[in-house]
Amino acid sequence: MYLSLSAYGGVTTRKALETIAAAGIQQVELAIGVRPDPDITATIHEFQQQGMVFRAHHAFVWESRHRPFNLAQPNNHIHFQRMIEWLANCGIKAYSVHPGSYENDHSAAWHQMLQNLEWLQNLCHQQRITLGVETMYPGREGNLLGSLPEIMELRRLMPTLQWVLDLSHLNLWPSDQLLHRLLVIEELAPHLLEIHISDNDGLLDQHRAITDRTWWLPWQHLWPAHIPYVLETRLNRKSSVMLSQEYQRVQSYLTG
Amino acid sequence: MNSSAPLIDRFQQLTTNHTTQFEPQITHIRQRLDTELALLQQQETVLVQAQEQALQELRQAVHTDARFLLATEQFQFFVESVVPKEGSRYSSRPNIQVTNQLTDWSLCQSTEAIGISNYQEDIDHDGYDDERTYTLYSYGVDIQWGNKSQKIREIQINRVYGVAKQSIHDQADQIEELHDRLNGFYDWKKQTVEEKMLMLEMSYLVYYCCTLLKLQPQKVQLVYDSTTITE
Repeated sequence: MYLSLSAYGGVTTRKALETIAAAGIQQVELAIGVRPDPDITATIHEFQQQGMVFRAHHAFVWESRHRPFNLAQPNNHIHFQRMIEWLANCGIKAYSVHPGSYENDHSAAWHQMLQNLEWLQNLCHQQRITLGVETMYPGREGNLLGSLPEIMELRRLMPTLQWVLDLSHLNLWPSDQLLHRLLVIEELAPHLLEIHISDNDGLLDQHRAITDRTWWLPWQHLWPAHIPYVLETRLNRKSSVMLSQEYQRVQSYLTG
Repeated sequence: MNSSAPLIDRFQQLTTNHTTQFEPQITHIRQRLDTELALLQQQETVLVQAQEQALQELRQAVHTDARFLLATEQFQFFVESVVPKEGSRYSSRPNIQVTNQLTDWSLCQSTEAIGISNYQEDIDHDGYDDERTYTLYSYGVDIQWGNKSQKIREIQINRVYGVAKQSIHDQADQIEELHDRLNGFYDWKKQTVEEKMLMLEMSYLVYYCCTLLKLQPQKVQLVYDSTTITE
């Protein structure tokens, strides 16, 4: 199970990695939330030499200035090129993105996302990096890939694209759509890059701790056991002892 | 030698007149107010100290064993005031709820003391949800239950995403979160429904105790500006 850096925000990547390493956790997903480091490349290499393994997610922090982006809008291709090259130079093989959100024009957003995803998938392929796109939830902001039909449509249009199944996002789907949730899982199970886990109250993406009431626990047989989990429970400022306890506690819920 | 400009002189003369006319009166009022307030505060100190003493005794009692609250009408009133969340999450799972009949609570039969202490509030400016950052307002508390203990931190009160957007966690949310944490007293694989119910009752008690532990003495306060001349 990987730990997402978004779960340990507010400190530099180095500080977060020191705490995570001291907790005995060796699998980390780079993400938004941490503060930029003066020399993140050296930091990553240093921890890799100690045996840490990395993946990267969406607008992860890798430059001195952090740049969020939205794939439903036109983007700076040169920036993406540099980012993917940086990942390749660091030997990071898995990268995933959010599909993007829109205010009014769903159609324009959808086409822009498709264009960006195809371009990005090609770029990643050249660098031998596997790209995944994440399942979202309807949301007031208008998230793409927040429903079964949209996910099925993208599966049809980009059959070789890998997926990130965010199980906590599925909990934000309308409560009468349990069947839709399960159908999405069934559809994506053979194409999964990773599975993001945390919990919420069914209304907001709160990144709460997983408990025995977390909705997907009884459905773990629906996806292959070897797919890596990424823990996204909020753990800001927790000590390495507490990180380690929480990591082990969550692992006790996983049957894989 | 240059001569002075009459237009500027006229304005300066007017402001000087203003100062001479009003400043002594304002100073006088301020001094009188300061004297009266000092007198008031002297009288108040005795009462504030008594409130602090009463709070100290309340905190000590809650720290020793909070179960005495179970028999109070204030706690009864509080339990009745909590509205469990409609259309709660995990709708596919059985949900348990406490009864308003406190004498039926298993916590009343429990023999072990519940000590609640060290209430503290916290702010974290570095919260992050997917694609959004927020400031988290939360609190924590220490719980001693028989020979077991837990330091509960980050019971969420509010997430502020910006000027226009926030997510307030009401008392039902906070009780639910406390319940999740208190279940940590047990190995989740072995925890029985009765034990879950016991922890749900305890989450009500802990939440109520937190509302007591954050009480502060009431003080009278008069805020007034010292003389301000608007220019």
